[in-house]
Amino acid sequence: MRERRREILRIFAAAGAAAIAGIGSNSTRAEPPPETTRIRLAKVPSICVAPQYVAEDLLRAEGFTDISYVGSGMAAGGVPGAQMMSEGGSDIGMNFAAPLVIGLDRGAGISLLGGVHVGCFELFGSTRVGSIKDLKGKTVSVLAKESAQHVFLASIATSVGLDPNRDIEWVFQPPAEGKQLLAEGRVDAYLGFPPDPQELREKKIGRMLLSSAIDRPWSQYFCCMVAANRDWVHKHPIAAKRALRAILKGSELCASDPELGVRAYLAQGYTPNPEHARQALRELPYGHWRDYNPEETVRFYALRLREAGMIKNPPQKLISQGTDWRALDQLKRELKI
Amino acid sequence: MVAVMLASVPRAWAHATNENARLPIVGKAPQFALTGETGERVVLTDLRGKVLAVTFIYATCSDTCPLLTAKMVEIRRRLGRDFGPRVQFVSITVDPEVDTPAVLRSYAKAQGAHVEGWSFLTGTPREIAEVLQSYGVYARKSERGGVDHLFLTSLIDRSGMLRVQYLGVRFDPGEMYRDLQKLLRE
Repeated sequence: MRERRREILRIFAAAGAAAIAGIGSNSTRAEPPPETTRIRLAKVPSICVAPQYVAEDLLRAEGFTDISYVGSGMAAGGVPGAQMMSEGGSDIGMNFAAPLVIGLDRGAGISLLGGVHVGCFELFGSTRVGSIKDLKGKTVSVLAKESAQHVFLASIATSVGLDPNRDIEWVFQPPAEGKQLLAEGRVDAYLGFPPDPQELREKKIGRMLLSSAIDRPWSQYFCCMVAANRDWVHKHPIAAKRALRAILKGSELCASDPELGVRAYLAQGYTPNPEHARQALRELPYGHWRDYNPEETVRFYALRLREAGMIKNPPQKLISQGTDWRALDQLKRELKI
Repeated sequence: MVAVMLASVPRAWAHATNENARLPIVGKAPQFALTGETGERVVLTDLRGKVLAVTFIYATCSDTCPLLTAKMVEIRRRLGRDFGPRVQFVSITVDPEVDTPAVLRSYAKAQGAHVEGWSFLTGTPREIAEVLQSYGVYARKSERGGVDHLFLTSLIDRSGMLRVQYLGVRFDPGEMYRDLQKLLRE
């Protein structure tokens, strides 16, 4: 408690000193500069996280000069991504809320700073599956154990009374193989992350059973959130706020001009079908970061994951230990939409 | 689909702050010294004493910039006699290579914004780049010939402090009008 108070005093002191001195060394700055000019973002392969890629120029405007993307594939997202961040492998980045909650439950030293958008996932079923409940005893292809896809579908299954560990036969395959298995009828369902759903719809493979952008209750809670290494936030509170602001502005850019998001994503070296990528960015509901409650999101997924036996701690403990909304609360006052 | 998504937004969370709350003080508004649409030099510090709304546009932007300017025209109308003497709008171009003072003058006229109390500013590419960076505005020439940029409107109080920023063009002009009134009452 005392440490937290000291930290708050330090932030106010820094802000006050900067104001008196004409904002540090750069008299044109409205706020104190970040405590560090280096920032490492988790390189997650999903196009959902386009706001953090499009934010690169905005991060520069916020005072970061050494911007890098670290990790790759599974290691940067899902539960492994939370672990990598906890171990100092990355400073900040976007990830799906549920694996972040699992990370917190396992003691990961990360802080959730805010939500970015809802709705990434779409569940596709074969003709043998008419509803979520029909998944009992069926095969479902997802990227990997503890990937965002696996954790999300486990949450869904639990919500309709299924035991994701017993009732579903998981098939862990990369997206290309998973989609192929669904097309060939060798699995009963596939959970896609953009731009997979756009491709499946175009090719008329399977039928959509659930969209987290549309279907309640999933559409009521953030999908991607911004998390950061807890020590990094503690040492660099102004940098954390500035980075969060850049990513939230990136979300607005993706909403107003999806093509920008596509270009930023492709510039990271990913090679999706460009038209599917464009469609995905047009469909994702960016720009609504003020409209949803990040704490409710953590509570919601913590409850689902606890029902699924995937976490042990009660939601409030995870919220107390693993969330830090101070920067978000400031930004909600300073940055209106 | 869009309608379903909008209907599902829990609005109670949105803008949950007290309507009467004082606007935050973000910090000192970043300085600028640029050229107005009539060729005069406009310096931020010379505008002290007025409440300012600073926006970023470019004259050949045919899709979104006019939406923003139209909202500002509506706010100007609501401000009545306060507009000009007590409240000033400043629109800064993000395309200085194209937007000369004469181009901005024509743009202002076409948008119904060619009035006392509303400045349209340009400068050298370097001057503009510095202003964009200091206000946190993304802008980059696009392959399509325009300028991709972030819409960000900053409200600055009479003592030159940046108080709040509006992101995008979907904001409620009524809310911005109320914020300007709050700053006038301080």
